[in-house]
Amino acid sequence: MNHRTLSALSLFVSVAGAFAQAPGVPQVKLLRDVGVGQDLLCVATIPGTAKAYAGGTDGKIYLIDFDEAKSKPIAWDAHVSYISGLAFTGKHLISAGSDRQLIWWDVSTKTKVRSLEAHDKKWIRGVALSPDGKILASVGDDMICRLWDAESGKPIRELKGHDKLTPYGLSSKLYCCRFSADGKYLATGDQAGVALIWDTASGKQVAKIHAPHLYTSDTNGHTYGGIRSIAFSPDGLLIAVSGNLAGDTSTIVNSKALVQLFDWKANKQTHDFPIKINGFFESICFHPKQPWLIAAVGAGEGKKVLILDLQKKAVLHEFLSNTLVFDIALNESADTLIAVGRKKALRWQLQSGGGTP
Amino acid sequence: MPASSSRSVVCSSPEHLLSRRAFFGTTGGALLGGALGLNALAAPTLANQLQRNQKRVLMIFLNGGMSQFESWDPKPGRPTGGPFMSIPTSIPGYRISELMPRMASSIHRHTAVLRCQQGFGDHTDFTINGGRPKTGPVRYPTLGPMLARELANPNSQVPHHVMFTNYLGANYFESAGFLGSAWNPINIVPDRIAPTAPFTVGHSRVRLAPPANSLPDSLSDTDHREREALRVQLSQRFGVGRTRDGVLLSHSGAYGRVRGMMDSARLFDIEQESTQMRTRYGSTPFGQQALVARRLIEAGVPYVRVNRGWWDHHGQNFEFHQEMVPELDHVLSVLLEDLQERGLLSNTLVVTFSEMGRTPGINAAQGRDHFARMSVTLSGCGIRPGVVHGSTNADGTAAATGSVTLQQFFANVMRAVGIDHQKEINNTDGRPVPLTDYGTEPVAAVLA
Repeated sequence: MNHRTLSALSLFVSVAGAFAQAPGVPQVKLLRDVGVGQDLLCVATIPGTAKAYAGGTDGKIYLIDFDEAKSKPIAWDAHVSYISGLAFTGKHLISAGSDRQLIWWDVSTKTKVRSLEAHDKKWIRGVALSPDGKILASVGDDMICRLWDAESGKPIRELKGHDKLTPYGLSSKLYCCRFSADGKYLATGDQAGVALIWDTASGKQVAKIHAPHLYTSDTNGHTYGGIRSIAFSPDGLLIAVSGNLAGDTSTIVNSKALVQLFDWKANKQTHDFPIKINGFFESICFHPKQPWLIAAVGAGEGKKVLILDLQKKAVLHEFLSNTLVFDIALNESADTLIAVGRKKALRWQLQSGGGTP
Repeated sequence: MPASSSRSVVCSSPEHLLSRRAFFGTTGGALLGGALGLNALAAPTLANQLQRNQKRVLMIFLNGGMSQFESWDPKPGRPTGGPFMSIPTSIPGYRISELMPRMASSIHRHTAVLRCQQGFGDHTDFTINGGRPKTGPVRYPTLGPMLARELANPNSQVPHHVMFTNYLGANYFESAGFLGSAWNPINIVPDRIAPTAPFTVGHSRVRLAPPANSLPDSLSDTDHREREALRVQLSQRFGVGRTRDGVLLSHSGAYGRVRGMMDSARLFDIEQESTQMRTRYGSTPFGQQALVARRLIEAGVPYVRVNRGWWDHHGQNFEFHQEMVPELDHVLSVLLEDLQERGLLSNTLVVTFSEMGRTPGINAAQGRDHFARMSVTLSGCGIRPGVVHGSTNADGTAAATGSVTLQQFFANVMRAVGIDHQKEINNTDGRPVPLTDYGTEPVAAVLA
């Protein structure tokens, strides 16, 4: 079945609200599509609810209730530039932005608890919360991953190891970070396609993975790519990195979205998913109960979400998002998927059809 | 002020710091070399005093179209603004993107900014052609050949028009049109295969010199000179009565510069520069090309164009500009400092010129598309620094004040280096054609 056929099927699924019935194919049902006037770059779910926080390019944080059919998201001014990362501890919402600020919010009053210029006056690219909610990791263009006490905001340690310059002599970027499910490890990914794995407790770098296909250059040293999203498999054995298999002449045209997986302890690549979509996989997450990796397409022409079968090493299912997706998140029971992107936020029901594929 | 006056030698200005040893070393080297200025680069910081009245232009051309929002005309906090902040500059009231801190602190010294409305925004040579039509009986020259022709020293053996480019820029070649191919550039085009990282100082792995500027092993220098003498003899005989034959003149002129080119090989050799200097410009191809461009300017090449691409960011605009604008900021500011220190900036006009601008609207791929409005800069020779001519509205969608046309911009470039922009040149049919369209007026406010 080709992509076009798959897309047509997915559109039918999304629009009609029916489940795909093929055995082993995930059942995906669009529950809500919420229009927002701004591009939304990041999302944090609120456990036990159908709500989520989203960060916009207008510097506002949006509280979106997917259960309310016609509700308008509640928004407040948070940053003076793009919001690049959100993490919700249950007590505080922590936001990061291109204005260099890392801000703790009292969500009941929507007031600042504290604000830090956390990354040496550089952009903050993203944040991640440890599974126990105690440690916040932030990454920025100072190429340092910083760990914070998620409650007090006190710095714990700095994780230094990413090169400040790309191999082509230009400033690099530290795009993403993610904790393992048990919180023992933290992974960070940079523009040059390098992922570092850290021991959370000691702060020591324990592994280095190089995914060179996620970064390239043209003849004049015009570089592009980078690890835009990173994730540990539920058992912690694999690291997935995503971005773009860059073409020869331009970042988007004639390129492929790319996901690669590595056995990080053995420093060995295990999976390769170059997908013929002009765009980046901006966000990925493992399904905690199924051998699935969910990858969303942003910053390109594709407007879809893919479910990758890690056992068959193939695309298992794809469905239209009807917008470019910049971030995704599963809820705690992994039966709903929330995506935010180009002027939209979406929520799908996600189930396995006919047992494990 | 004529730099060769005795007063200039003792002036404390770095522009005028020229030692007696350096002066005589340069002059002597030039005379011995047989090509004025070819050996001028052995000394670390000097300009050839004999060349100081010669005007030059160094063009930094931004292939693909740099975003004015992420550089010279930021609109932070507006829907069109993107993620970057603006920062104050050394020109009161003028702010530029935070991606350009070096130029922000020094822009008042040498640079003027113009808001340019080019009328057309797409990937053609429209911009460098000054918006003149490509159809019709007149094949208009682009900016580079006109400047090279007007600024060239007829006795100089150095090339008069050199362009560093990349293969993406290959479609944006200068074209001499009716001026004749002798005024076309020597293109230094890198291999199509992407250079291999890592780049280190002196090893940016891009081509920095013409590929064939030395003799093959099978041909001795003496043989080559004798062949050239024979060619000149035959060419002169053939040229009797053909004084207006443009093809013949171009052909003959091109051959005549071969020896100059070969003698100029050292000019393109970045190894002649100290590690410190190469580090100063940076290890990127653009930085290294700019350093070689400076060497050429110093040796008297009247027009050098360095292309930096690729700015056509329909997707991921901010990621790429975050990487490339700081590089431009670095290279441009170092270049201006270096030219100033060598006493060359008073005779060298440095231009940053973009193929086009980028749209105020940010598309779904976080990109900006083509836009026929941009900001350009003029620095150094003939420029009144610290002037920002024109402004755009709050969202950068239209001009608010003082937009200039491409023809006006060209006129400013020409006037800054002492060229009469309304000068007429006879085309191949004998019809007089002005360098810029009749009636074009430069912006006086940015001229010294």
